[in-house]
Amino acid sequence: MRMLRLAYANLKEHFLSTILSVMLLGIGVGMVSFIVTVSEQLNNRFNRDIRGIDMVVGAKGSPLQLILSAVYQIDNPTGNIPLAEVNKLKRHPLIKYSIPLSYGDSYQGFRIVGTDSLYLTHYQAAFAEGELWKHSMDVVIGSSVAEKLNLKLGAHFHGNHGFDKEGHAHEESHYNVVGILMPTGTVADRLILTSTESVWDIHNHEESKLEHYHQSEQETGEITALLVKFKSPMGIMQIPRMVNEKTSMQAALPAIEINRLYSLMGVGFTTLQIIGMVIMCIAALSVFISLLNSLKERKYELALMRSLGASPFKLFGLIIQESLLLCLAGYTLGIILGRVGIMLLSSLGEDQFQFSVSQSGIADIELWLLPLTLCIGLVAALIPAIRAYRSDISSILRNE
Amino acid sequence: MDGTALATLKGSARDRFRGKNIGLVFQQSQFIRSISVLENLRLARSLAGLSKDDAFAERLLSELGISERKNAKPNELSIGERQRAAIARALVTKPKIVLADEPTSALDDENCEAVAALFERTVTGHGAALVIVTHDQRLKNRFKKSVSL
Repeated sequence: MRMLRLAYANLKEHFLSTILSVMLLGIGVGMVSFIVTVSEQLNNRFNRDIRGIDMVVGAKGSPLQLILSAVYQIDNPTGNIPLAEVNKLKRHPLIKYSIPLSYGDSYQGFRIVGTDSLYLTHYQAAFAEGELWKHSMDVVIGSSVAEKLNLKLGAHFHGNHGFDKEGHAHEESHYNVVGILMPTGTVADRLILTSTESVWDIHNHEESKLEHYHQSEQETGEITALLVKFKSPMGIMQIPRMVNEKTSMQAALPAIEINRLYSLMGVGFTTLQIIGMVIMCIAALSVFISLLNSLKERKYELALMRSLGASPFKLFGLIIQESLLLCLAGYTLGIILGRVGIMLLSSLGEDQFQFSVSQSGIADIELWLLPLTLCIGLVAALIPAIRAYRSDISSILRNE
Repeated sequence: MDGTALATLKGSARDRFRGKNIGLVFQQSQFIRSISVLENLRLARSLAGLSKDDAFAERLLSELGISERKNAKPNELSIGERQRAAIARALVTKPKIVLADEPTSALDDENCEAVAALFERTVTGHGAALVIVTHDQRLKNRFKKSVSL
Protein backbone atom coordinates (compact mmCIF):
# COMPACT_ATOMS: atom_id res chain seq x y z
CA MET A 1 0.00 0.00 0.00
CA ARG A 2 2.82 2.32 0.95
CA MET A 3 4.52 1.55 -2.36
CA LEU A 4 1.37 2.34 -4.27
CA ARG A 5 1.12 5.72 -2.59
CA LEU A 6 4.75 6.37 -3.33
CA ALA A 7 4.16 5.44 -6.96
CA TYR A 8 1.27 7.87 -7.08
CA ALA A 9 3.37 10.64 -5.50
CA ASN A 10 6.12 10.03 -8.04
CA LEU A 11 3.69 10.31 -10.93
CA LYS A 12 2.36 13.55 -9.50
CA GLU A 13 5.90 14.85 -9.19
CA HIS A 14 6.47 14.30 -12.93
CA PHE A 15 3.17 15.83 -13.80
CA LEU A 16 3.79 16.81 -17.40
CA SER A 17 5.19 13.56 -18.66
CA THR A 18 2.49 11.73 -16.72
CA ILE A 19 -0.17 13.82 -18.46
CA LEU A 20 1.42 13.15 -21.84
CA SER A 21 1.42 9.41 -21.32
CA VAL A 22 -2.10 9.34 -19.94
CA MET A 23 -3.41 11.46 -22.82
CA LEU A 24 -1.76 9.29 -25.46
CA LEU A 25 -3.07 6.15 -23.86
CA GLY A 26 -6.49 7.69 -23.41
CA ILE A 27 -6.76 8.75 -27.04
CA GLY A 28 -5.59 5.33 -28.24
CA VAL A 29 -7.96 3.42 -25.98
CA GLY A 30 -10.81 5.81 -26.70
CA MET A 31 -10.35 5.55 -30.43
CA VAL A 32 -10.27 1.77 -30.47
CA SER A 33 -13.28 1.39 -28.21
CA PHE A 34 -15.19 4.04 -30.17
CA ILE A 35 -14.54 2.45 -33.54
CA VAL A 36 -15.29 -1.06 -32.40
CA THR A 37 -18.51 -0.04 -30.67
CA VAL A 38 -19.74 2.03 -33.59
CA SER A 39 -18.99 -0.60 -36.21
CA GLU A 40 -20.60 -3.27 -34.04
CA GLN A 41 -23.76 -1.26 -33.58
CA LEU A 42 -23.86 -0.31 -37.22
CA ASN A 43 -23.58 -3.98 -38.09
CA ASN A 44 -26.29 -4.89 -35.64
CA ARG A 45 -28.67 -2.30 -36.88
CA PHE A 46 -28.06 -3.06 -40.51
CA ASN A 47 -28.58 -6.74 -39.93
CA ARG A 48 -31.71 -6.24 -37.85
CA ASP A 49 -33.39 -4.12 -40.48
CA ILE A 50 -32.44 -6.42 -43.29
CA ARG A 51 -33.62 -9.62 -41.66
CA GLY A 52 -36.17 -11.49 -43.71
CA ILE A 53 -35.90 -9.26 -46.77
CA ASP A 54 -34.49 -11.28 -49.65
CA MET A 55 -34.95 -8.80 -52.45
CA VAL A 56 -35.95 -5.22 -53.01
CA VAL A 57 -37.59 -4.14 -56.24
CA GLY A 58 -37.59 -0.50 -57.27
CA ALA A 59 -36.90 1.85 -60.13
CA LYS A 60 -33.66 1.47 -62.04
CA GLY A 61 -30.67 3.22 -60.56
CA SER A 62 -28.03 2.46 -58.01
CA PRO A 63 -28.88 -0.83 -56.26
CA LEU A 64 -27.20 0.39 -53.09
CA GLN A 65 -29.33 3.52 -53.14
CA LEU A 66 -32.42 1.37 -53.55
CA ILE A 67 -31.50 -0.72 -50.53
CA LEU A 68 -30.60 2.30 -48.44
CA SER A 69 -33.82 4.07 -49.27
CA ALA A 70 -36.25 1.17 -49.14
CA VAL A 71 -34.80 -0.86 -46.26
CA TYR A 72 -32.96 1.65 -44.10
CA GLN A 73 -34.96 4.72 -45.07
CA ILE A 74 -31.85 6.89 -45.27
CA ASP A 75 -31.18 7.62 -48.93
CA ASN A 76 -33.57 9.11 -51.48
CA PRO A 77 -35.65 6.65 -53.49
CA THR A 78 -34.52 5.82 -57.01
CA GLY A 79 -37.92 6.66 -58.47
CA ASN A 80 -41.30 5.00 -58.82
CA ILE A 81 -42.42 1.76 -60.40
CA PRO A 82 -45.75 1.03 -62.08
CA LEU A 83 -48.20 -0.97 -60.02
CA ALA A 84 -49.18 -3.08 -63.02
CA GLU A 85 -45.72 -4.60 -63.25
CA VAL A 86 -45.51 -4.97 -59.50
CA ASN A 87 -48.78 -6.88 -59.39
CA LYS A 88 -47.58 -9.24 -62.09
CA LEU A 89 -44.40 -9.93 -60.13
CA LYS A 90 -46.30 -10.45 -56.88
CA ARG A 91 -48.06 -13.47 -58.32
CA HIS A 92 -44.81 -15.30 -58.98
CA PRO A 93 -45.01 -18.68 -57.24
CA LEU A 94 -41.60 -18.39 -55.60
CA ILE A 95 -42.53 -15.26 -53.68
CA LYS A 96 -43.74 -15.89 -50.15
CA TYR A 97 -44.90 -12.35 -49.48
CA SER A 98 -44.13 -8.85 -50.59
CA ILE A 99 -44.55 -5.46 -48.97
CA PRO A 100 -45.23 -2.33 -51.04
CA LEU A 101 -43.64 0.98 -50.06
CA SER A 102 -44.65 4.42 -51.32
CA TYR A 103 -42.94 7.65 -50.44
CA GLY A 104 -43.79 11.23 -50.89
CA ASP A 105 -44.09 13.10 -47.68
CA SER A 106 -42.35 13.57 -44.43
CA TYR A 107 -43.13 15.25 -41.17
CA GLN A 108 -40.43 17.00 -39.14
CA GLY A 109 -37.79 14.90 -40.85
CA PHE A 110 -39.58 11.59 -40.31
CA ARG A 111 -40.67 9.77 -43.44
CA ILE A 112 -44.28 9.04 -44.10
CA VAL A 113 -44.36 5.65 -45.76
CA GLY A 114 -47.36 4.19 -47.49
CA THR A 115 -47.42 0.42 -47.07
CA ASP A 116 -49.71 -2.34 -45.84
CA SER A 117 -50.05 -4.20 -42.57
CA LEU A 118 -47.45 -6.77 -43.66
CA TYR A 119 -44.76 -4.19 -42.92
CA LEU A 120 -45.77 -4.20 -39.27
CA THR A 121 -45.91 -7.98 -39.19
CA HIS A 122 -42.50 -8.18 -40.82
CA TYR A 123 -40.80 -6.04 -38.17
CA GLN A 124 -42.90 -7.64 -35.43
CA ALA A 125 -44.20 -4.26 -34.43
CA ALA A 126 -46.93 -4.47 -31.84
CA PHE A 127 -49.24 -1.62 -30.96
CA ALA A 128 -48.55 0.28 -27.77
CA GLU A 129 -51.76 2.24 -28.28
CA GLY A 130 -54.43 2.46 -30.91
CA GLU A 131 -54.79 0.25 -33.96
CA LEU A 132 -54.05 -0.08 -37.66
CA TRP A 133 -55.24 2.59 -40.13
CA LYS A 134 -58.75 2.14 -41.44
CA HIS A 135 -59.18 5.19 -43.63
CA SER A 136 -56.99 7.16 -45.93
CA MET A 137 -54.85 9.67 -44.00
CA ASP A 138 -54.81 7.56 -40.85
CA VAL A 139 -51.22 6.98 -39.68
CA VAL A 140 -49.46 4.66 -37.27
CA ILE A 141 -46.27 6.13 -35.82
CA GLY A 142 -43.11 4.41 -34.65
CA SER A 143 -42.01 4.71 -31.03
CA SER A 144 -39.13 7.16 -31.70
CA VAL A 145 -41.42 9.38 -33.74
CA ALA A 146 -43.97 9.48 -30.94
CA GLU A 147 -41.29 10.25 -28.40
CA LYS A 148 -39.36 12.89 -30.39
CA LEU A 149 -42.35 14.76 -31.74
CA ASN A 150 -44.44 14.16 -28.67
CA LEU A 151 -47.36 12.96 -30.77
CA LYS A 152 -50.27 11.38 -28.97
CA LEU A 153 -53.11 9.23 -30.17
CA GLY A 154 -55.62 11.36 -32.04
CA ALA A 155 -53.10 14.07 -32.94
CA HIS A 156 -53.28 15.77 -36.35
CA PHE A 157 -50.43 17.13 -38.47
CA HIS A 158 -49.66 18.33 -41.99
CA GLY A 159 -46.98 16.52 -43.94
CA ASN A 160 -44.23 18.22 -45.91
CA HIS A 161 -43.54 17.36 -49.49
CA GLY A 162 -40.23 15.54 -49.84
CA PHE A 163 -37.88 14.57 -47.08
CA ASP A 164 -36.59 17.96 -46.01
CA LYS A 165 -37.65 19.36 -42.71
CA GLU A 166 -38.57 22.61 -44.38
CA GLY A 167 -40.34 21.34 -47.47
CA HIS A 168 -43.54 23.07 -48.44
CA ALA A 169 -46.46 21.86 -46.41
CA HIS A 170 -49.38 20.10 -47.98
CA GLU A 171 -52.34 21.99 -46.69
CA GLU A 172 -54.54 19.17 -47.86
CA SER A 173 -52.55 16.40 -46.19
CA HIS A 174 -54.15 16.28 -42.85
CA TYR A 175 -52.94 13.16 -41.08
CA ASN A 176 -54.55 11.58 -38.02
CA VAL A 177 -52.54 9.50 -35.61
CA VAL A 178 -54.55 6.32 -34.96
CA GLY A 179 -51.84 4.05 -33.64
CA ILE A 180 -48.50 4.15 -31.82
CA LEU A 181 -46.07 1.23 -32.03
CA MET A 182 -43.95 -0.35 -29.33
CA PRO A 183 -40.20 0.03 -29.79
CA THR A 184 -38.85 -2.67 -32.12
CA GLY A 185 -35.21 -1.63 -32.35
CA THR A 186 -35.61 -1.48 -36.11
CA VAL A 187 -36.20 1.10 -38.78
CA ALA A 188 -39.95 0.91 -38.04
CA ASP A 189 -39.39 2.99 -34.90
CA ARG A 190 -38.50 6.00 -36.97
CA LEU A 191 -41.29 5.88 -39.52
CA ILE A 192 -44.76 7.26 -39.90
CA LEU A 193 -46.70 4.46 -41.54
CA THR A 194 -49.90 4.78 -43.46
CA SER A 195 -51.79 3.01 -46.19
CA THR A 196 -50.57 3.14 -49.77
CA GLU A 197 -53.85 4.79 -50.65
CA SER A 198 -53.11 7.78 -48.42
CA VAL A 199 -49.95 8.52 -50.36
CA TRP A 200 -51.80 8.18 -53.63
CA ASP A 201 -54.65 10.37 -52.47
CA ILE A 202 -52.40 13.27 -51.56
CA HIS A 203 -50.34 13.21 -54.69
CA ASN A 204 -53.20 12.60 -57.06
CA HIS A 205 -54.85 15.54 -55.48
CA GLU A 206 -51.75 17.62 -56.08
CA GLU A 207 -51.31 16.40 -59.59
CA SER A 208 -54.89 17.10 -60.51
CA LYS A 209 -54.13 20.68 -59.65
CA LEU A 210 -51.05 20.53 -61.85
CA GLU A 211 -53.16 20.00 -64.95
CA HIS A 212 -53.02 16.22 -64.94
CA TYR A 213 -49.39 15.78 -65.82
CA HIS A 214 -49.41 12.04 -65.50
CA GLN A 215 -52.81 10.95 -66.47
CA SER A 216 -51.88 7.33 -67.04
CA GLU A 217 -50.16 6.97 -63.68
CA GLN A 218 -53.33 7.85 -61.91
CA GLU A 219 -55.12 5.05 -63.58
CA THR A 220 -52.61 2.32 -62.88
CA GLY A 221 -50.99 3.70 -59.75
CA GLU A 222 -47.38 3.64 -58.72
CA ILE A 223 -45.40 2.61 -55.72
CA THR A 224 -41.79 3.35 -54.85
CA ALA A 225 -40.43 -0.04 -53.93
CA LEU A 226 -41.37 -3.58 -53.04
CA LEU A 227 -39.76 -5.63 -50.28
CA VAL A 228 -39.82 -9.32 -51.18
CA LYS A 229 -39.45 -12.51 -49.18
CA PHE A 230 -38.91 -15.70 -51.17
CA LYS A 231 -40.39 -19.09 -50.46
CA SER A 232 -37.12 -20.86 -51.13
CA PRO A 233 -33.54 -20.01 -52.10
CA MET A 234 -34.57 -20.87 -55.62
CA GLY A 235 -36.16 -17.42 -55.73
CA ILE A 236 -32.78 -15.70 -55.45
CA MET A 237 -31.54 -17.69 -58.41
CA GLN A 238 -34.42 -16.82 -60.71
CA ILE A 239 -36.39 -13.75 -59.81
CA PRO A 240 -33.77 -10.95 -59.61
CA ARG A 241 -32.50 -11.84 -63.05
CA MET A 242 -35.97 -11.98 -64.42
CA VAL A 243 -36.87 -8.58 -62.96
CA ASN A 244 -33.71 -6.93 -64.21
CA GLU A 245 -33.94 -8.35 -67.69
CA LYS A 246 -37.64 -8.42 -68.46
CA THR A 247 -39.14 -5.47 -66.63
CA SER A 248 -38.52 -1.76 -66.36
CA MET A 249 -37.77 -2.33 -62.69
CA GLN A 250 -34.62 -3.16 -60.81
CA ALA A 251 -34.11 -5.94 -58.28
CA ALA A 252 -31.44 -5.53 -55.62
CA LEU A 253 -30.35 -8.09 -53.06
CA PRO A 254 -29.82 -6.48 -49.65
CA ALA A 255 -27.31 -9.07 -48.50
CA ILE A 256 -25.02 -8.36 -51.44
CA GLU A 257 -25.35 -4.59 -51.33
CA ILE A 258 -24.75 -4.44 -47.61
CA ASN A 259 -21.69 -6.59 -47.95
CA ARG A 260 -20.44 -4.14 -50.53
CA LEU A 261 -21.17 -1.28 -48.17
CA TYR A 262 -19.35 -3.04 -45.34
CA SER A 263 -16.31 -3.62 -47.47
CA LEU A 264 -16.27 0.09 -48.26
CA MET A 265 -16.75 1.17 -44.67
CA GLY A 266 -14.57 -1.64 -43.43
CA VAL A 267 -11.50 -0.01 -44.95
CA GLY A 268 -12.21 3.16 -43.01
CA PHE A 269 -12.89 1.31 -39.78
CA THR A 270 -9.78 -0.80 -40.11
CA THR A 271 -7.67 2.27 -40.83
CA LEU A 272 -8.99 4.08 -37.78
CA GLN A 273 -8.50 1.00 -35.66
CA ILE A 274 -4.90 0.72 -36.80
CA ILE A 275 -4.33 4.39 -36.03
CA GLY A 276 -5.76 3.77 -32.56
CA MET A 277 -3.41 0.84 -32.06
CA VAL A 278 -0.45 2.88 -33.28
CA ILE A 279 -1.32 5.62 -30.81
CA MET A 280 -1.45 3.01 -28.06
CA CYS A 281 2.01 1.81 -29.07
CA ILE A 282 3.31 5.38 -29.00
CA ALA A 283 1.72 5.67 -25.58
CA ALA A 284 3.64 2.59 -24.49
CA LEU A 285 6.82 4.19 -25.78
CA SER A 286 5.98 7.38 -23.92
CA VAL A 287 5.43 5.45 -20.70
CA PHE A 288 8.72 3.65 -21.25
CA ILE A 289 10.68 6.85 -21.90
CA SER A 290 9.18 8.79 -19.04
CA LEU A 291 9.87 5.93 -16.63
CA LEU A 292 13.43 5.66 -17.87
CA ASN A 293 13.95 9.41 -17.55
CA SER A 294 12.52 9.57 -14.09
CA LEU A 295 14.69 6.60 -13.22
CA LYS A 296 17.85 8.47 -14.16
CA GLU A 297 16.70 11.42 -12.15
CA ARG A 298 15.80 9.21 -9.22
CA LYS A 299 18.71 6.87 -9.07
CA TYR A 300 19.80 8.39 -5.76
CA GLU A 301 16.33 7.97 -4.40
CA LEU A 302 16.30 4.35 -5.39
CA ALA A 303 19.71 3.79 -3.85
CA LEU A 304 18.48 5.56 -0.75
CA MET A 305 15.50 3.26 -0.55
CA ARG A 306 17.83 0.30 -0.77
CA SER A 307 19.95 1.72 2.03
CA LEU A 308 16.77 2.11 4.08
CA GLY A 309 16.03 -1.56 3.74
CA ALA A 310 14.08 -1.96 0.51
CA SER A 311 14.88 -5.12 -1.40
CA PRO A 312 15.70 -4.87 -5.12
CA PHE A 313 12.39 -6.57 -5.80
CA LYS A 314 10.57 -3.78 -4.02
CA LEU A 315 12.08 -1.23 -6.37
CA PHE A 316 11.12 -3.42 -9.32
CA GLY A 317 7.57 -3.48 -7.97
CA LEU A 318 7.56 0.28 -7.47
CA ILE A 319 8.35 0.96 -11.13
CA ILE A 320 5.80 -1.61 -12.29
CA GLN A 321 3.16 -0.05 -10.07
CA GLU A 322 3.88 3.40 -11.42
CA SER A 323 3.40 2.14 -14.94
CA LEU A 324 0.21 0.25 -14.11
CA LEU A 325 -1.21 3.32 -12.38
CA LEU A 326 -0.45 5.38 -15.48
CA CYS A 327 -2.11 2.83 -17.70
CA LEU A 328 -5.15 2.57 -15.48
CA ALA A 329 -5.57 6.33 -15.65
CA GLY A 330 -5.10 6.24 -19.41
CA TYR A 331 -7.64 3.44 -19.73
CA THR A 332 -10.20 5.33 -17.68
CA LEU A 333 -9.67 8.47 -19.73
CA GLY A 334 -9.96 6.41 -22.91
CA ILE A 335 -13.25 4.85 -21.90
CA ILE A 336 -14.62 8.27 -21.03
CA LEU A 337 -13.41 9.72 -24.35
CA GLY A 338 -14.85 6.80 -26.28
CA ARG A 339 -18.22 7.18 -24.63
CA VAL A 340 -18.29 10.93 -25.10
CA GLY A 341 -17.46 10.35 -28.76
CA ILE A 342 -20.31 7.91 -29.09
CA MET A 343 -22.70 10.32 -27.42
CA LEU A 344 -21.63 13.08 -29.80
CA LEU A 345 -21.97 10.83 -32.83
CA SER A 346 -25.31 9.69 -31.59
CA SER A 347 -26.75 13.17 -31.28
CA LEU A 348 -25.24 14.13 -34.62
CA GLY A 349 -26.34 10.93 -36.32
CA GLU A 350 -29.90 11.13 -35.09
CA ASP A 351 -30.46 14.37 -36.94
CA GLN A 352 -28.59 13.60 -40.10
CA PHE A 353 -28.91 9.88 -40.70
CA GLN A 354 -31.49 8.86 -38.17
CA PHE A 355 -28.82 6.64 -36.77
CA SER A 356 -28.34 6.52 -33.05
CA VAL A 357 -25.81 4.55 -31.11
CA SER A 358 -26.85 3.63 -27.66
CA GLN A 359 -24.58 2.29 -25.04
CA SER A 360 -25.74 0.59 -21.95
CA GLY A 361 -23.54 -1.32 -19.56
CA ILE A 362 -19.95 -2.21 -20.36
CA ALA A 363 -19.14 -3.17 -23.92
CA ASP A 364 -17.03 -6.25 -24.61
CA ILE A 365 -14.33 -4.18 -26.22
CA GLU A 366 -14.01 -2.08 -23.09
CA LEU A 367 -13.44 -5.23 -21.07
CA TRP A 368 -10.86 -6.43 -23.57
CA LEU A 369 -9.00 -3.16 -23.59
CA LEU A 370 -8.35 -3.27 -19.83
CA PRO A 371 -6.00 -6.27 -19.82
CA LEU A 372 -4.51 -5.04 -23.08
CA THR A 373 -3.68 -1.64 -21.58
CA LEU A 374 -2.27 -3.22 -18.44
CA CYS A 375 -0.11 -5.50 -20.60
CA ILE A 376 1.21 -2.44 -22.40
CA GLY A 377 2.03 -0.99 -19.00
CA LEU A 378 3.88 -4.14 -17.94
CA VAL A 379 5.90 -4.36 -21.12
CA ALA A 380 6.79 -0.67 -21.08
CA ALA A 381 7.87 -0.86 -17.45
CA LEU A 382 9.85 -4.07 -17.72
CA ILE A 383 13.20 -2.63 -18.76
CA PRO A 384 13.09 0.36 -16.39
CA ALA A 385 12.01 -1.97 -13.58
CA ILE A 386 14.86 -4.38 -14.29
CA ARG A 387 17.24 -1.44 -14.21
CA ALA A 388 15.88 -0.36 -10.87
CA TYR A 389 16.22 -3.93 -9.67
CA ARG A 390 19.84 -4.11 -10.71
CA SER A 391 20.94 -0.68 -9.59
CA ASP A 392 24.19 -0.93 -7.67
CA ILE A 393 23.66 1.20 -4.61
CA SER A 394 27.18 1.47 -3.38
CA SER A 395 28.48 2.81 -6.69
CA ILE A 396 25.63 5.30 -6.97
CA LEU A 397 26.07 6.57 -3.43
CA ARG A 398 29.83 6.82 -3.90
CA ASN A 399 29.38 9.14 -6.87
CA GLU A 400 26.94 11.46 -5.23
CA MET B 1 26.80 -7.22 14.75
CA ASP B 2 24.22 -7.51 17.51
CA GLY B 3 24.68 -11.25 17.50
CA THR B 4 24.20 -11.56 13.75
CA ALA B 5 26.98 -12.38 11.35
CA LEU B 6 26.32 -10.00 8.46
CA ALA B 7 28.09 -12.21 5.97
CA THR B 8 25.57 -14.98 6.56
CA LEU B 9 22.59 -12.82 5.61
CA LYS B 10 21.37 -13.10 2.07
CA GLY B 11 19.57 -10.72 -0.27
CA SER B 12 16.52 -9.06 1.12
CA ALA B 13 17.16 -10.31 4.66
CA ARG B 14 20.36 -8.30 4.57
CA ASP B 15 18.48 -5.27 3.18
CA ARG B 16 16.01 -5.48 5.99
CA PHE B 17 18.67 -5.92 8.63
CA ARG B 18 20.43 -2.84 7.30
CA GLY B 19 17.26 -0.80 7.31
CA LYS B 20 16.46 -1.81 10.86
CA ASN B 21 19.83 -1.60 12.53
CA ILE B 22 21.92 0.91 10.66
CA GLY B 23 21.05 4.57 10.25
CA LEU B 24 22.86 6.34 7.45
CA VAL B 25 23.57 10.04 7.02
CA PHE B 26 25.09 10.97 3.69
CA GLN B 27 27.34 13.83 2.70
CA GLN B 28 24.54 15.37 0.71
CA SER B 29 21.27 14.39 2.22
CA GLN B 30 19.06 12.42 -0.13
CA PHE B 31 15.32 12.17 0.14
CA ILE B 32 12.42 10.88 -1.87
CA ARG B 33 11.51 14.18 -3.49
CA SER B 34 7.89 13.47 -4.25
CA ILE B 35 6.77 13.04 -0.64
CA SER B 36 6.95 15.21 2.47
CA VAL B 37 9.57 15.02 5.22
CA LEU B 38 7.23 13.19 7.56
CA GLU B 39 6.31 10.72 4.84
CA ASN B 40 10.01 10.15 4.23
CA LEU B 41 10.37 9.17 7.85
CA ARG B 42 7.34 6.89 7.62
CA LEU B 43 8.76 5.28 4.52
CA ALA B 44 12.06 4.62 6.30
CA ARG B 45 10.24 2.70 9.03
CA SER B 46 8.08 0.84 6.58
CA LEU B 47 11.03 -0.20 4.40
CA ALA B 48 12.83 -1.47 7.49
CA GLY B 49 9.80 -3.63 8.20
CA LEU B 50 8.81 -1.64 11.29
CA SER B 51 5.31 -0.56 12.21
CA LYS B 52 4.14 3.00 11.80
CA ASP B 53 5.13 5.30 14.68
CA ASP B 54 4.25 8.88 13.87
CA ALA B 55 4.51 10.00 17.45
CA PHE B 56 8.14 9.01 17.56
CA ALA B 57 8.85 10.52 14.16
CA GLU B 58 7.31 13.81 15.19
CA ARG B 59 9.19 13.80 18.48
CA LEU B 60 12.45 13.39 16.59
CA LEU B 61 11.55 16.25 14.24
CA SER B 62 10.68 18.54 17.10
CA GLU B 63 13.89 17.61 18.97
CA LEU B 64 15.73 18.64 15.83
CA GLY B 65 13.70 21.83 15.59
CA ILE B 66 12.01 21.17 12.27
CA SER B 67 8.63 19.88 13.36
CA GLU B 68 6.86 22.78 11.68
CA ARG B 69 8.46 21.71 8.39
CA LYS B 70 7.22 18.15 8.56
CA ASN B 71 4.74 18.53 5.69
CA ALA B 72 7.18 20.34 3.41
CA LYS B 73 8.75 18.60 0.44
CA PRO B 74 12.48 17.92 0.91
CA ASN B 75 13.36 20.40 -1.86
CA GLU B 76 11.69 23.17 0.06
CA LEU B 77 14.02 22.79 3.02
CA SER B 78 17.26 24.70 3.52
CA ILE B 79 20.48 22.69 3.52
CA GLY B 80 20.69 22.83 7.29
CA GLU B 81 17.11 21.72 7.69
CA ARG B 82 17.67 18.93 5.24
CA GLN B 83 20.69 17.69 7.15
CA ARG B 84 18.64 17.66 10.32
CA ALA B 85 15.82 15.83 8.59
CA ALA B 86 18.37 13.29 7.40
CA ILE B 87 19.48 12.73 10.99
CA ALA B 88 15.86 12.28 11.99
CA ARG B 89 15.42 9.72 9.28
CA ALA B 90 18.55 7.88 10.36
CA LEU B 91 17.18 7.65 13.88
CA VAL B 92 13.55 6.92 13.17
CA THR B 93 14.19 3.21 12.88
CA LYS B 94 15.91 3.22 16.29
CA PRO B 95 19.12 1.77 14.84
CA LYS B 96 21.97 0.26 16.84
CA ILE B 97 24.54 2.29 14.96
CA VAL B 98 24.48 5.47 12.92
CA LEU B 99 27.04 5.87 10.15
CA ALA B 100 27.61 9.42 8.95
CA ASP B 101 29.66 10.27 5.90
CA GLU B 102 31.01 13.84 5.86
CA PRO B 103 27.78 15.13 7.38
CA THR B 104 29.11 18.66 7.86
CA SER B 105 31.13 19.31 4.74
CA ALA B 106 28.37 21.36 3.16
CA LEU B 107 27.71 23.44 6.25
CA ASP B 108 29.12 26.68 7.59
CA ASP B 109 30.68 26.89 11.03
CA GLU B 110 27.51 27.75 12.82
CA ASN B 111 25.44 24.96 11.28
CA CYS B 112 28.33 22.57 11.63
CA GLU B 113 28.40 23.26 15.31
CA ALA B 114 24.66 22.78 15.56
CA VAL B 115 24.68 19.51 13.62
CA ALA B 116 27.53 18.17 15.69
CA ALA B 117 25.68 19.02 18.86
CA LEU B 118 22.56 17.38 17.48
CA PHE B 119 24.48 14.25 16.65
CA GLU B 120 25.87 14.03 20.09
CA ARG B 121 22.65 14.74 21.80
CA THR B 122 20.19 12.80 19.73
CA VAL B 123 22.18 9.82 18.58
CA THR B 124 23.69 9.01 21.88
CA GLY B 125 20.45 10.07 23.54
CA HIS B 126 18.64 7.34 21.65
CA GLY B 127 21.17 4.72 22.57
CA ALA B 128 22.90 4.32 19.25
CA ALA B 129 26.57 4.22 18.46
CA LEU B 130 27.79 6.92 16.12
CA VAL B 131 30.54 6.60 13.54
CA ILE B 132 31.45 9.69 11.56
CA VAL B 133 33.80 9.69 8.63
CA THR B 134 35.13 13.16 8.12
CA HIS B 135 38.10 15.35 7.26
CA ASP B 136 36.41 18.25 8.94
CA GLN B 137 38.73 19.63 11.63
CA ARG B 138 35.79 21.26 13.38
CA LEU B 139 34.30 17.84 14.07
CA LYS B 140 37.59 16.17 14.92
CA ASN B 141 38.07 18.64 17.71
CA ARG B 142 34.74 17.78 19.14
CA PHE B 143 34.84 13.99 19.39
CA LYS B 144 37.42 12.22 21.46
CA LYS B 145 37.55 8.77 19.93
CA SER B 146 39.01 8.93 16.50
CA VAL B 147 40.81 6.64 14.10
CA SER B 148 43.08 8.46 11.69
CA LEU B 149 44.02 6.82 8.44
